[in-house]
Amino acid sequence: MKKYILYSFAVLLIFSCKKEEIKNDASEEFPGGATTYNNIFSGSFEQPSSNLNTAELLQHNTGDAHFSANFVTSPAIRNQGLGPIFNHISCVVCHPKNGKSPQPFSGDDLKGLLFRISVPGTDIHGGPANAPGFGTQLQNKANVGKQAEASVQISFTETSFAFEDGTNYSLRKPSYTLMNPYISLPSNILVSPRLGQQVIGLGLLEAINERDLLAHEDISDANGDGISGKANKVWNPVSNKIEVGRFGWKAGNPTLLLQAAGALNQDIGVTSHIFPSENSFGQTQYDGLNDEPEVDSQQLSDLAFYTQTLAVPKRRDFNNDDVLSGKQLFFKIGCDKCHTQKYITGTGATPSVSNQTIYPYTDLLLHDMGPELADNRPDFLASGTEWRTPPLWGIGLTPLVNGHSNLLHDGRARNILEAIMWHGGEAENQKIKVTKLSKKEREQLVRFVGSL
Amino acid sequence: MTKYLCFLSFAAMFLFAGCKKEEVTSYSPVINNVTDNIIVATYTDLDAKAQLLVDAANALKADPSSATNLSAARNAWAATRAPWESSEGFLFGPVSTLEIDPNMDTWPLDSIGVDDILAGTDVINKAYIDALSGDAGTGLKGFHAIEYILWGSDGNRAAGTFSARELDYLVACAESLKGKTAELKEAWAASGGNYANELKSRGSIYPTEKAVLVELAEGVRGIAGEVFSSKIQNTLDGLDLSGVSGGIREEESRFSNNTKTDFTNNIISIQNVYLGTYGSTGNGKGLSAIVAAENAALDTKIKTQITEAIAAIQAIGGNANVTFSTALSADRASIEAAQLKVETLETTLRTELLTLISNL
Repeated sequence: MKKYILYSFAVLLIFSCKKEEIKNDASEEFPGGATTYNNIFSGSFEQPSSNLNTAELLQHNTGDAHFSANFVTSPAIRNQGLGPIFNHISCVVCHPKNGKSPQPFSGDDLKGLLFRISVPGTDIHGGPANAPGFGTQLQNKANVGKQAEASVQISFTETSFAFEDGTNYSLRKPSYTLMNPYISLPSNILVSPRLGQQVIGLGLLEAINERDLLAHEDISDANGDGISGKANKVWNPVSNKIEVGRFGWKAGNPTLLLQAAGALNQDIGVTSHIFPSENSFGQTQYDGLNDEPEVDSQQLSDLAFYTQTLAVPKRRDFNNDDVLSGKQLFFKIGCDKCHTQKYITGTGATPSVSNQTIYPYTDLLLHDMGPELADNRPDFLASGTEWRTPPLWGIGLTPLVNGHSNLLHDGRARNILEAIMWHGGEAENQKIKVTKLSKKEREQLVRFVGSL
Repeated sequence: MTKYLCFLSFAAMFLFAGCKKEEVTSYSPVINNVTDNIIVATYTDLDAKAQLLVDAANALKADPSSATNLSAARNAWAATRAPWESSEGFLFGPVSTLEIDPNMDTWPLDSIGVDDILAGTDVINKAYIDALSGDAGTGLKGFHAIEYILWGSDGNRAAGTFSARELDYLVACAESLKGKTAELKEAWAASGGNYANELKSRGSIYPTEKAVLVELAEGVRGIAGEVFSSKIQNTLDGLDLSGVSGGIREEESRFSNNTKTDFTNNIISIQNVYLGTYGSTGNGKGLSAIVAAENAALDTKIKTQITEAIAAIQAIGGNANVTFSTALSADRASIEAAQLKVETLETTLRTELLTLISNL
C-alpha cells in the first residue's frame, strides 16, 4: 500500500507543478541582458538602457531630443534642412513611441510606411540601381513650392484559409500603385514597401559578433532542412568596404550610424558628413542651397547613440504554463531555426551593450519567404523574395505601446497568428506544422511569441 | 482504501494550492477610482470646457471690438488649458495612439506658418484646420494657435484689432480642438471605445492589476521628468533670437503668460492620481492608498514633495505677478529652485514609488 501512496504522490507532483517540465533559464526574463527595463507600460520602448552611466545617459537624452525633433525648411534657426522632398519631418513619426505605426489604409496618410524603389541591375557597389529621376526611395512629400515625387494608392484583397481543425482565417494583402509622378516613372520600376520598425535593443544586435551570425549561414542548405540563411553583404561608405548587413527589412545597413544617416537623408531630406548630397540632387526639386551638411557629426553620432542605448523591456509571464507550452511548440516546429533565441554579445559601440546575454529571436540573416510576401526588389545580396528575420523581442507590446498589433514589412498582418501564416518559402514547412495545431496549441504559440 | 484515497485527495489539494501564488490584495478600488474619477473625469471636464471655448470664440467673432468678449475668450482658453495640463500625468492610451496630443498641443507654434495662412486666401474653417494633420500641420493649430490669436506674440493684443481671417482662424482652431477633446472623451467612454475598461478589467493590454498600477506610476513619473528635464530645462538652455540668455522661444504658453499655471497643473496631475481626487470628485483612493499601507514614510515623503514642487513653481519670480518670461532674465535662481524640487520628486517617484509598485 505504501508503495502506491508514494507512486501516487510522484504522479501528483508531476501534474501539479507542470512548470518544472519545460526549462527556462532565469536570464530569459531579461531579453536585453543588463540593458533590460523592468517595467512594462506604454512607454516601455522609450527607456534608456538600465546600465548607462551618467555621461552616457546625458548623451542618450541629447540623442532622444534629436529623435523627436521636427525638422523645418531651411534657412531656419535650428533643425533646418527638411526636404526639399521627404517622407516625414521627424524620426518619431515613423517610429511612434519608438514602436511602429499600423498598416496605412490610404495613400493620403502613409503613417510610418515608405517605398524603396529601383530599376533592375545594380549600382557600382552591388546595391539597388537608381530609378532615373527618383533615386532609391520615393519621397511622397515636399516643401512648400516643391513637388513630391509621387503619391501612392493602396488597395487590399482578403483571402480566406483554414487550419486543419476547420477554423478559418483570412489574410489581407495590400497592393500599391504609384500615382501622379512629377516626371514619368521608369516602366521597369521596382517598388518595396517598408514600415518603420521598433527601435529597441538595436545596439545589442549591432554588438553580436559577426562570426556568430555567419555561423548560422547555410547558403546552399547543406543540412537539408529547407532553410538556407544568408548574410547580406552591403556597402559601407564610412569604411569604404563591403560589410555584413544587419538593420532594415533586408539587412541593407551594416551599422546604426549608417542607418541613422541614411534615414535622415532619405526620409527627412537632411544631409550629414556621411551622406552629403540631398536626396533630390540632380532633380528639379533640388534646393541648390549648398548648406550641407545639415546636421553636424556630433548630432548624428548622438542620434545613433540613442538608438544604440534603448532598453529591451522585460518579458511578461515568462513562467506561465501556456507560455511555456507555446515555447515548446515554437522549438518543436522549428521557428528557432531562423528566430535564433540567444547570443552573448561581443564588444559593441558602448560598454552597456557589450558582453550581454540576449534573447532577440533573430539570426539577422536573409531567408526566402515565398512569393506572397515578396517585394521582388533585390537589395545587395537579398533577392526579391528574401527578407531579414526580424527580432521578436517586444513584439507582444505593440498593442500597449501603439494601440494596434500589425506586423511584417508593411504591416499587412493584423496580429501574431496572421504574421505566422504569411510565412512561406523556407518557412513553408513550419507554417504547415502550425496549420495542424489545435486551437489551444495555436493560442499557446501566440502567447509565447507575445511574451517575448 | 477509501481512506487512503481521501487522504490522497487532500494531499493533492494541498499540492495544487502550493503551486499557486499567494492570494494578493485587489487594487481595483484604486484602479476604478483613478480611471473613472480622475482620468475620465478630467477628459469629460476638458471636453465641456472646450465647448465653452468654442462658444466664447464665436462670441468674440460676432463682436470683436468687445473687450469683455476678448477677456471671456481668454478665460475660456485658460479654463480649457487647466484640465488638459492636468491630464499630462496619464499620457497613455488613446491620447497617444490616436495622435490626439500633437493635434492639440504642439509647441513651439509655427507662428510664421500661421501668419502665412492668415495672409493667404485659403478658406479657413474647421475642416481646413482638421486637415492640417500629422507632420508640419500640427504646429499650426491647437492650444497655442488659439493662444497666439487671442494674445498676440507680445501678449497684449487689444480688442478691435482682429482681422476677419484671424477670427475665422480662432473659431476654426477652437472647433477643431473641441473635435479632438470629444474624440478623446469618447475613446474612454463605456458608450464609445471604452478604454476605461482596459484599465478596470483584465485583458491583453493590462493582464494584471499591477500592470495598470505600473502604467499609472510611470505616467506620473514621466510628467515629472518632462517638466524638469525638458519643459523647464529647454527654457534655461535656449538662446533667443537676440542671443539673450533664457530661451523665451522655448517657453510654452508664453503668449498668455500661463507658463507657471501649466507647470503647476502638470504637478497637480501627479497629485490627482496619487491622492485619488480630481477637484471635488474622486473618493481618495489613489496610489497613496497603496503606498501608505506598505511604507507610510514614503507616502508622506511623496505628498510633501508634490506640495513643495507646486509651491516652488508658484514662487518663480518671487510673486504671482512676475511672469515666467520675466523670471527667465530677472530671477533664474527661482526657476532653477523649482526645477530642483520637481527633479527631487521625479527621483522619488522613479526610485522609490516604482520600486514599491513593481514589487507588489
